[in-house]
Amino acid sequence: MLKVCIKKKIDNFLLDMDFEVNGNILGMIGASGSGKSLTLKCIAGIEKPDEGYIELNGKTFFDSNKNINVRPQNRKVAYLFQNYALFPQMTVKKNILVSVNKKYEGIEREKKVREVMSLLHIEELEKKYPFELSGGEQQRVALARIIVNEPDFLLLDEPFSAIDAFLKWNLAKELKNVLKHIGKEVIFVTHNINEVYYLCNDVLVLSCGKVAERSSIKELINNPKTEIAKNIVKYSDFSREELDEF
Amino acid sequence: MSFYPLYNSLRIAMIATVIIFFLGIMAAYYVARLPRLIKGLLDVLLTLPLVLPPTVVGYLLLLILGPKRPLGILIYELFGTKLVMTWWASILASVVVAFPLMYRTARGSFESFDETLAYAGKTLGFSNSYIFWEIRMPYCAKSIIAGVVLSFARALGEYGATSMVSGYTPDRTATISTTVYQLWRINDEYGAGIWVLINIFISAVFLLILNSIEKKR
Repeated sequence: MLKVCIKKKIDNFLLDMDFEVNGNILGMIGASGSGKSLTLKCIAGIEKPDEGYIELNGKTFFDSNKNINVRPQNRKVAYLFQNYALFPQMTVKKNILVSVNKKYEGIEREKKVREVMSLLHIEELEKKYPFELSGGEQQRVALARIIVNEPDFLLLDEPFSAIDAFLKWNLAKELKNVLKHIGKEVIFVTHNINEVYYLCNDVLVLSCGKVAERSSIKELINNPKTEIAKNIVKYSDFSREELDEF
Repeated sequence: MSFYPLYNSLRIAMIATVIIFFLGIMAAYYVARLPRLIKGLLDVLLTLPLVLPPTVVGYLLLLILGPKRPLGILIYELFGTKLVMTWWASILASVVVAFPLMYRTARGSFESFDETLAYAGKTLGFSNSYIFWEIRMPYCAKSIIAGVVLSFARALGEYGATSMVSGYTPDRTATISTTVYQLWRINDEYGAGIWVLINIFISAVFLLILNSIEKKR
């Protein structure tokens, strides 16, 4: 279980988040600048909140009262970046190999790489460099890196924003399977309510750095309570019939 | 003909380049992260040797290291040696004069580095030194290599500050550039010409090697 209760001020923007993730994939939706990415960065340890606490499965990552701020390296929280952040000077295989959890050594590391490449069907890409890959391929490699790292929690920051619309749903299907395979709790950030509907059970609607609404995805679509949630539902290209096919 | 100036120039340029490499990268890395105002001030200070005449740099170095200055006296008392008029004083002069070339090229490339790569490395559990040497440095390698080439070339060709802090003593402090000047001064145009050709040859070979490394990358 992830507990987040933090505040962070940057210029005129105040991030004031208070929520929990308990055993599922939590969607996080909101307009640009609503604080989605900043929240993820605070959870990962890349940004330091001004006050509050962050706790995962009873382990404190951040507590301003106790002066605790665990390094991102020791949090075991995976972060899938919008641009995937593959290391450009390393081949696909090297990108995955260097990310294998440190508890594995020698031949075992190699074995883990083979397994994950087979799982994500990227064996033929092993000698390629990131700049030679399509958006979908890059996403698979970034996911492979995360799987071999064996994190305790996953943060997915708009993973489909750089993917062509016609490829997106195939990748979403794959992602759903991969997340099932990993079996960890996830925060999935997006602009797109269709993606949330497909991947998540619960959803947080963010507005101006705060949680405007939290509900199940079905409840949000059928009965949005806040103005921002109403707008998100109203202006989405949402088609329940189409999504129910999945 | 003594080949001491060749040997001395090469060792000074090489040692200076190694020092500049680490100093320049370290300064670039930390300065790139500072608040704007402090960054601006430090930037001026660290780049000054590039625009000042080398004789001014030499003068300032003599002010600090001279045998009658506190630092010079301290070193003489501790080690029984003077800081100036030695071959290794030229290393110091070359480091100060060529440092801004490495610092500026490295800083430019560090500022264009995509920080999400470092964040990704952190969340994957990599140590900060691994992220620096295996992710940040390879990403910035082209600029860093350019900085190394420029610094080496500048250190090899250093004359003004070197002649002030090390002078010209044959077989003790003579470098190619100070030898060229001294030979020309005593009307030995043939001797000066040979050293000019040697200098051109070394610089051209060095640039060719580095160009080929660049192409291979």
